[in-house]
Amino acid sequence: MAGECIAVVGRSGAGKSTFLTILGLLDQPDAGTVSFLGEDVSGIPPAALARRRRGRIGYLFQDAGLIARMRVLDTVCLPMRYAGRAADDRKAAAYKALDAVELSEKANRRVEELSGGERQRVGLARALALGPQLLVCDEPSAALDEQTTGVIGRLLSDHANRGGCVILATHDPLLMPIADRMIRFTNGAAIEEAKP
Amino acid sequence: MPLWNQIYMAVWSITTRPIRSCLMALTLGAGAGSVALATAILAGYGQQMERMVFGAYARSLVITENTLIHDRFGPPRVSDLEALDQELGTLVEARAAWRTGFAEAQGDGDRYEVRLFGVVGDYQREANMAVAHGRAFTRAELAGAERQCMLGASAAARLFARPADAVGAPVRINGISCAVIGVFGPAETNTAERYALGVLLPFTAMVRYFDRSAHLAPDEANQLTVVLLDRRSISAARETADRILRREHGAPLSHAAPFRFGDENASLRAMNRQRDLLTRLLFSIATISMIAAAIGYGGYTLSAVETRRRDIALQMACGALGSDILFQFMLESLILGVLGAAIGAGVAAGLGFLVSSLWDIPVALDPSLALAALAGSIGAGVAAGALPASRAAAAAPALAVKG
Repeated sequence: MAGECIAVVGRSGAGKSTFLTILGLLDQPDAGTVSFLGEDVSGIPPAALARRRRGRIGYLFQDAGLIARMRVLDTVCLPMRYAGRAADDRKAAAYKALDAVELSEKANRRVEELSGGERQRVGLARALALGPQLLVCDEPSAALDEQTTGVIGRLLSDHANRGGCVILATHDPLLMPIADRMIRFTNGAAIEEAKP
Repeated sequence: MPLWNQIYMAVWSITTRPIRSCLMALTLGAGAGSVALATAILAGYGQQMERMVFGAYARSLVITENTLIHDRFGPPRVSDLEALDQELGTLVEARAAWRTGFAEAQGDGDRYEVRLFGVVGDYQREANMAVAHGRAFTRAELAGAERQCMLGASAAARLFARPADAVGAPVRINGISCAVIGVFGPAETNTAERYALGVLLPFTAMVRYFDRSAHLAPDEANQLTVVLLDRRSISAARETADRILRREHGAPLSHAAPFRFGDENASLRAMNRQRDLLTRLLFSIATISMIAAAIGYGGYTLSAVETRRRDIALQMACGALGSDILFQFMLESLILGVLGAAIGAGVAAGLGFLVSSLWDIPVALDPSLALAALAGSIGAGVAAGALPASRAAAAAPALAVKG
């Protein structure tokens, strides 16, 4: 899976988001097992699950999933803060991630002052700042213009090329080309299909 | 997560919602303020009552002859004061020997019977009245035998048409002239009240010129007063004084005590018991206010947790543990509690000053106020914030996915 970009597709309500939630260790399945980096993490307590995902898994949500009153810089620093990174490291990594999404000049703005596209880019900067092994993206381009979608697609592709794994739920034809594999959810079953 | 980061997140959460945070701190402040104000009023009331009812007697040994037994040991003597002073030393703040009697006095009008107080030592602890006209006795004058006196306010009003005119004028006591050097103002305490209709004289002058009682020798006094620095040392001082006086007067321990020790402290304890009842009443009211404030604060915090559920889930998706969230919310409560305490102490001090100025309610403003406010506010904030904080800590991180 390392270095791969996998697209997850399916109709609304098919279970894509639930799948991503479980895959991202945000929740536990009702049945079955989940393995993460070779370890069976099914049924482990929430705190242990949180420790597993700390710094290893990044998330990009459909609505960016940002805390509205937080400054952009603090938003990007948040996962690093919880990971216990030193202040200087945090700041340097945050500016690097913001440079990558071309938003470093807005580092001191509040999230609520940004446009939808800018928020999504901040969300991506936050997800990438710690260099996660797994990047989970849930419909990241749902409300974005073509240009911003293109930027996000390029950054996701870059992350996979650097050895990270990207799992992406999307219907966007602009993002499909970056996927190496595709999993389709139909009638509650996941079917792996060829490269789109 | 390091503590500094926890503090940062708590402060961030407080400062990004300033109005809500202010309301929460004010809620705690109102409760804490009521506790602090109640404390201030109780302390002020206690001090005022003690001062009014007992004055310096609250921490004094008042030694008089035991008139219930007839023996050869006699009344206390002025010279006993020195012996007491030597033994009690650092415990003593002031001392005085009093000789009392009645006399017929005449100023610029009719004659009246007045009470005479011959004193040597620090009389102002008991006759603690301001001087309205003229001046007070000097220490040297009190130790001397000049025919000089000071008049109580009521005595001056009876003996002279205008009390201010008494200063410098003679007053005849039992037919002997005595110069008035000063007139006291109104008495503000019960202890001082007894001097209002009296004439204060140097001890020796009284013995030599004005006292007609035959049963006391020149050095003997009706009363010795030893004012102590601390009320708590009265019991120990009393035992020491009994031993010294027995030794000075040759009274064996097997003999009944030749002197009586006025125990004003016992009366004070009785008064304090009454005050304790009032304390319980006021604290009950203040506690109800504090509970109401805590409930209000808990409601605010719970509502904040509900509205921030997704933010909390997002924090958890970014790596926060449940314990991090719990600690963050508890820290918020702690910080708001401290802010509430500052507000409460300020409100209590302000209101205390106001009620003290407007209605003359005695209020004692001291650092214990701030401590009471701090304890009340932090205690209420942390206790009321615990449940919402635990709910926040139990939030499901999967909520982060739902927009």
